[in-house]
Amino acid sequence: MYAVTFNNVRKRLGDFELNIPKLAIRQGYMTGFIGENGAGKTTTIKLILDMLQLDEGSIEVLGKNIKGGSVSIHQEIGYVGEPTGYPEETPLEAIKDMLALFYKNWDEVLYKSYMQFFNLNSKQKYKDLSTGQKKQFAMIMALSHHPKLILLDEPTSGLDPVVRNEILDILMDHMQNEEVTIFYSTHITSDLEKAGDYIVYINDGQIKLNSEKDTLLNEYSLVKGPKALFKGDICKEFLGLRENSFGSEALLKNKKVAYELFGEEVKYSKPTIEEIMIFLSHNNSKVVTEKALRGGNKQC
Amino acid sequence: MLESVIKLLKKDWIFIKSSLKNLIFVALIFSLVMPWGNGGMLLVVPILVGYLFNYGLLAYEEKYKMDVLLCSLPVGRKEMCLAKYIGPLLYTLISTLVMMVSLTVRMVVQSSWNGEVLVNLLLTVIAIALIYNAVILPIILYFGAIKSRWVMMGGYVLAFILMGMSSSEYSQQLQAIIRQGFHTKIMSSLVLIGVVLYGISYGMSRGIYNRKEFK
Repeated sequence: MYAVTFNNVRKRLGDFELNIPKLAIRQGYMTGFIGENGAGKTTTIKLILDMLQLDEGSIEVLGKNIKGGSVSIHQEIGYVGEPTGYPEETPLEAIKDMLALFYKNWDEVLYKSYMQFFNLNSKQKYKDLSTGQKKQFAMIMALSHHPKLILLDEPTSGLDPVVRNEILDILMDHMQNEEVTIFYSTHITSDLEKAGDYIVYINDGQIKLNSEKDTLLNEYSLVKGPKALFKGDICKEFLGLRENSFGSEALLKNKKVAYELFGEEVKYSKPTIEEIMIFLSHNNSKVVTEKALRGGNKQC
Repeated sequence: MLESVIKLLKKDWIFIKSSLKNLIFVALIFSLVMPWGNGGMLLVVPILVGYLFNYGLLAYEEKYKMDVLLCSLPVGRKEMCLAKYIGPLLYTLISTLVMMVSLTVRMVVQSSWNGEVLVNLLLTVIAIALIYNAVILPIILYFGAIKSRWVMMGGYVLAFILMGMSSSEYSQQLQAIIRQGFHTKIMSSLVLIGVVLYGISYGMSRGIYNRKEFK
């Protein structure tokens, strides 16, 4: 079962084009949506919310097409955007009153318990909150109406590790207590290593990777060794290659294949999601070197 | 649909009450004070109130990027647009009633009570409110509050220039024509024209809202 499905989706915004032929977000899991700045993460989320008009294709959310079904769909969606869109001069209690009106499943008890947990004063104005508290409040508003789908657009951006951890804990706690799907867009990949089930990587408007997190981290392999070993036909096996003055480093999709190619001559390690993202962002077999960072890439 | 529009109106009222009390204060003061000036000042009130509760509210929403939040709520674009038309009109009608009460008090105090004049003024004010809001709402919704400020300022400057350029003789002729036409039937027709324009304006804004992208 899928919470969100994309079919032949295209959207052009100026010079940028989002092109997603097929993408399906599994229901009941947390899917991390990663990509560098300007990759198309926010555009994708705004298309799901029908904030932007599709040029081509269709998107279904919880089994309904977003065109025509957006009102009932939005009842089931909790959204934390960047910016959040809350009025700065308004007390938290008034913001809650403004928005709770619209949700049939608004849970005042849950709202109060989250406010207490995060130690937020509802009489305070939104502008008087710290950056972390603003995100916490946005998260509370997104969770307090028992949504089935939670869309988070960089919810932990600009936050210190302690607050980020608190927000992730509340999300994971919510997932344990409710049947909920989380679609979490971020460029802070360490958050997903802790909590994510699936990873979708977008680059320049296209989906480059869509995989289970555990598969990614357990089967992908980082290989480090002398430059001489990273030449020739074996380059076509690399998802990415980096060179520096000490040697070369390559990312391969399969540990077994890596071992077959290099044997004991190199060092193997488990890549982090961040490292996978960095290697993929430079396309297949493109080399990133110290010289390249100063200007121009060299093909393997 | 009506339920969603009512919720949007309630939301706007909570927002105004909690964060934009100055709008209510200014509208009330003008509605109470202007009737004690000359007739022309009275006719400015629906324009001012319309400006405050249309442009003012939309400008705040744009400043805080509230439209992005609004879009994530379970309301359709049709309802969002309708609330933009009903809300400010309601506030304008309330300020009109306050103004009429103030004008009645003045007439009684000055022993110059004239029921027909009162009714005609009420109809004129309602007509002006409808026509003014019908004109500015699509402009604000299309251009956004910041850009439409320049469009509206340009319109006001042009109006003031035209008024300033008109000779006093022409101005007196115009006033005479207005006095002659100041009948209940004519004013009622003006209200009807206002209602039709309001409907056309809503249709245009619906089209703008349907195509709008909340970037």
